[in-house]
Amino acid sequence: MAVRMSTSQLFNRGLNPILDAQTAVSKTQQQIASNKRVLTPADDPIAATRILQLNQEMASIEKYNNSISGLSSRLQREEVALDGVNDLIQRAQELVTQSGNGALAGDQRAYIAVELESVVDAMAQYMNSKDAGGEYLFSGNKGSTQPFVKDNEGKYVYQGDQGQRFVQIGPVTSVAANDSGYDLFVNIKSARPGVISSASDGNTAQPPASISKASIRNQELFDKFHPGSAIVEFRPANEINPPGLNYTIKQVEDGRVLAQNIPYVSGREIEVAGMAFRVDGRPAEGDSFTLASTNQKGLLEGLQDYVETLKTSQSGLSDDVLKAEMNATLENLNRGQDQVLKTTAAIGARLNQTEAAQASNADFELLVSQSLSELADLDYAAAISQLSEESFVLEAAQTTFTKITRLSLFNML
Amino acid sequence: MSGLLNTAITGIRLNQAAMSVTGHNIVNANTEGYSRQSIQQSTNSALKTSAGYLGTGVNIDQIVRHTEKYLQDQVIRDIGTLSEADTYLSQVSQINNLLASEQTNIASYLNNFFDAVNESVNDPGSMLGRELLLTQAKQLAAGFKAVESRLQDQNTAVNKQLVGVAENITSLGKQISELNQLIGDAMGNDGRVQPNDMMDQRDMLVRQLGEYVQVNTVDREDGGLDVFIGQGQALVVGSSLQAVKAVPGSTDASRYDLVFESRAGTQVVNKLMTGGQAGALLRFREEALEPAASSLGLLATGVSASMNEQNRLGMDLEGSLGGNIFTDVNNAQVARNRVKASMENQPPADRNLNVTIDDLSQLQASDYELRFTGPGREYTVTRLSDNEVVSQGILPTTYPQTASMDGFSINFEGGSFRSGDRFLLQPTRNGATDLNVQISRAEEFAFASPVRISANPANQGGAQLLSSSVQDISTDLFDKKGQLNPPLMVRFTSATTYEVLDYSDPANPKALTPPMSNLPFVPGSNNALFPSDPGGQTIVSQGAAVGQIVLGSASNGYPGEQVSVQTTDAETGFIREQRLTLGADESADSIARRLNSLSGVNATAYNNLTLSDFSGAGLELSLNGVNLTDPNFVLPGEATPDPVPSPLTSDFLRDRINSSPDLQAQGIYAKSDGTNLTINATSGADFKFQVDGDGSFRAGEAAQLINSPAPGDPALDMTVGGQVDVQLAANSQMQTNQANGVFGSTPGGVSNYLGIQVTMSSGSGPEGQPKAGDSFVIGYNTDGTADNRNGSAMLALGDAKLFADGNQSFHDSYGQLAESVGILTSQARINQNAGESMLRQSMDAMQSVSGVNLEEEAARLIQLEQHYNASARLITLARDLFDVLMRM
Repeated sequence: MAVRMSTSQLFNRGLNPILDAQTAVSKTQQQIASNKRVLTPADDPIAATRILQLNQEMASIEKYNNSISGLSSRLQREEVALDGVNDLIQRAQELVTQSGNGALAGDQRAYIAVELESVVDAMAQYMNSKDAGGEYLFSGNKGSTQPFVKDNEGKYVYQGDQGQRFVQIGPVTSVAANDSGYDLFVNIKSARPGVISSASDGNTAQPPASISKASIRNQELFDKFHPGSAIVEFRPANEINPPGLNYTIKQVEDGRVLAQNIPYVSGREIEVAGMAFRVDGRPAEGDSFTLASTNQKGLLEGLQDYVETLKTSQSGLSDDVLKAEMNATLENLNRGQDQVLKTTAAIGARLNQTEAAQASNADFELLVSQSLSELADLDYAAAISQLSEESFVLEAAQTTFTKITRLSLFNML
Repeated sequence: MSGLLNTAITGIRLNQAAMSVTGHNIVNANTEGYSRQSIQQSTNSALKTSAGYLGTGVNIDQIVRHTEKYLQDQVIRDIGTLSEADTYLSQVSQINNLLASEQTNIASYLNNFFDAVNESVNDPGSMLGRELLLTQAKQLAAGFKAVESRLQDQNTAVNKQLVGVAENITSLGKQISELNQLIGDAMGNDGRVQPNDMMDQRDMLVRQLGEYVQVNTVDREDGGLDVFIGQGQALVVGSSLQAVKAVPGSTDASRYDLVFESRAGTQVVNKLMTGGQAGALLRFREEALEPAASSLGLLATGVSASMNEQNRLGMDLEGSLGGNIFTDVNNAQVARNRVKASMENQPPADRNLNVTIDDLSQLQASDYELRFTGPGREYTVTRLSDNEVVSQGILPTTYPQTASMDGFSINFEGGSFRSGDRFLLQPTRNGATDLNVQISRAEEFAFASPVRISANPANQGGAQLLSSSVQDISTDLFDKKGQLNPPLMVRFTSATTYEVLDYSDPANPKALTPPMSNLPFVPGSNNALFPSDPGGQTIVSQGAAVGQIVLGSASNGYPGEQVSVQTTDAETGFIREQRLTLGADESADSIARRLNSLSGVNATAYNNLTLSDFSGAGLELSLNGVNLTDPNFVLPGEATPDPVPSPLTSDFLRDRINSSPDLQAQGIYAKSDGTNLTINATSGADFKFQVDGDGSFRAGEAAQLINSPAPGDPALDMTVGGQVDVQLAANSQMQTNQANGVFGSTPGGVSNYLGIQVTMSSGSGPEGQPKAGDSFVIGYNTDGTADNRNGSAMLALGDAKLFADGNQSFHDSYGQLAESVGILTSQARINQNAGESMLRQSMDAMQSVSGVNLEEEAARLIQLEQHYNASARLITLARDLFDVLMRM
């Protein structure tokens, strides 16, 4: 027996395929319009998660590329500044060599000294270069502190620190974005030991008292003292008679007293273990200053010292001493130049590294975008043929529906 | 004749009735719920004649409606299934779209935020980058809030729909019960006459009810229908009705419950109301909406907690220690809001408790229920996502108390907890709501590390700083603004040992409390210089015997003792005990070496002694077998013996000590400031002096006067033992059985954790290794505006696996959320498609029985018309017959 059919069944059976076909057509149409195969996570939850991950990877590539472009421009600026410093080092070498010419008269040396001074200033200007954002390139982590500043005596003093900043340019690659002025221009092995003077962090005097650059007055005594360090401590006033500000100088290593309870006079030269220096201002009791002997001589410091020597040579300085000073200065200049060239090479290597990272990022980006496209994007050919198939089905369903429902026995009655 | 007429009339009547039924069918062909009707007919009872029974026409037995209960039931069930799938899909699609949409995609907010961190970290001094980051942080918080508020809206919508569903169920139930009454009345006693249209109507109502909740029906004798909903809860029994209501939850008023209300009280029936819209809404809320909110909250909590923690370890652009970027996740208000007490808890409402977050990696996106189960304040904590009991215990009567589980802690602050109390704990649910940017100025991002390490320019050796990090700024080291308390100095005392000193007075670096002296350094490899155990302690040898000047004996006077170290395992509570027996006269050097063989113990030994006030012309001294006053000794580099001064001077003794290879081998060296001679032994070796000749000196801190022995007497022995510093791991303590031994009877430890770590290395050759006296100063990073060390750590959080036991990053976690909702949605789509086709089939099957076929009715009309004509013809025939008879 045939299955009984009701009229509404007949209509529904005609209508349902039309509705289904419409839904399918509309979805395919939406996919075509948006060029996306996966419209929401529900369309393909696994692919959707993968798409999220890939988008995330794209975002981090972009992040790295941003870092790289910022980094390259910074490194290039550094490179330019170092080139400038290097040119000036060469000029200084010429001048220093020239000054050793025995045929020169005193005033000619003075001219050279003047020119050397301007070379030093120009160098300092390069060393105080800033990046695009106004940050000092060579002051380590103290980006807003000018690295080389002239003290009261006109000597350049390094104000930055020894910090180095790293920028991440790949999942596991970080590249240094700066070189501290300390490493570049200050921490240069000296031809001869010297001394560094500094005020202690904990000094309380307001305004702070300052210590001048220490010079070697008696090389022989100092050579004995080296590599020792001394500390100048300001003692309570009542330790001397009549009471007054006084200081004691001790050797740091073994606490040996080098000078005890000397009354203090601001600006008077103090000489100890061959080192000569001055303390200016009014230190508080308990303030201290260190004199650390060192194997290093900063680039600017070396030149400035030599300028001083040249100036004194007018008032009489034996040729031998001058020659020794000249050789030491040239030696220092060479070492400073080495350091600058080495760093320039390192910057070049870093720039290469960033370029390589950029290239590999680009490769990776291509790869990721390919997989993204495979996962998320629509296959147009397939989608369009699907659409035409689906619209064909829709048309067929519509046609048969109208045909079949038009038949009715009531038409015959 | 009349028989024939009567028979014809029955035919006419039948046909009239049948045509009216057909007409009823035709006009109701499109009436929803209408079941095709037809007439059941039979022959009238026959007249008995002698020839047999003579038919008397046709009788209308009954007007029946064509329906099948099993088909009805199937339709009701499929309506329920489809309506459940529809409702579920429409709800879950909203979340699905929410998580995928470009505007509300948390993943893109996170990307933007970390992009901004990256920009800023590359140029930490730039205000532009910082302002951008501040904006992005606000955007991120706003993004979380936007998604969260959409979820909340959806929850509100679910509540409203539940109210509507409950009203509809109750009202449909009411109508069904009323119809039951009417049908019972209409059926009368014999039960043969069915009120077809009324029954259709009732079936319609049941079908409508099926849209809201799963329905089962049982026919009653009286023609009525008993209706059971959900898992078999009676809604209509005969004409009585059980009302369903949706009311705010007793612990969480924002979460409506379906309840049965009766005189006995209200009964929550959420779990029982399956199928239909009610089932869909409840299931959606439990398996999609609430987990999504909790996951989102977890993510937000993670952003806030991790970024805050890192920022607090840094230093901002203005040189202050960093604060919280976002509102603290354990802020008092936020912690309290994680607990919701049931309104059914017995008064007074004095329970005071909160929930704080401890460990992101253990935290789960779930709510918990805290329930007090017994009169002895026994409680259990159940994780609601999988109904697992995660903690059980008894709450002591004193406060505060803390119970920890799943990465969070319940802090009981006070109150009269009693049996039956229930609390809903939501560690992560409100995370997105609570995510607010707290800092107001972009300067406050702490990209710099607060410590600066500077190599002393005078360093001669090859020690190099590798890295430095800050782990904890709650230590004393960071308790003064703008400086370290105290600034530290790492000083190498030899190529293989270093000490860390308090550098607040650079002229006089002094020992820290607890001391860090004579620590080992391995040239050529990476050395972490500071204790890394936050719970670590240092015990200093402060026993009565230590450092005493023992005269007349070559023994240091240490009595020997038993030392035991107990370590409690933090997780199991198991206590492990290690014992060591120290010998009498054992040197500090040896004690430290043997203590080092215990696990969790790190001991160092050293020895210092100050001598001064040398007098007398012929004082003779020897130290550890080295004659310091040998008149024939030639200093290295000199040609002749240096004269022994009279009296002895500290400088002379210093040079003698420092030039002895024997003493150097024991790590002994000396310093002199002109009056005082300080002798140090980095190994911790005993100082064994022999004093002879004629004279005196003072020794030790108390400046004890030591006189040489009387002439003729043997040389005087003078021995001083060294110190031992013991670093213990966390949760350890040390005990001894000697009150006057090296450590005293109850050695108290002092925390040695500074919260910073510095790693250094050096070359291993004689040139590259550190030289004694080389130093590094660790100070506050004043003006370190270009430093990005802490910022880099912040940036790394963007990819760090912070969640799920260290397996998921922010993006993984969000991906998992989107994926799980996606799966639910795609499942709901499949269910909806299946439900649709099942309903089509069952409707089809029912229509095939109950539906009107107009062709059929048309044919029937023709048939009935013919039949009617035939019956009418019978009457004319009877009349003709009668006429014939009359004409005869």
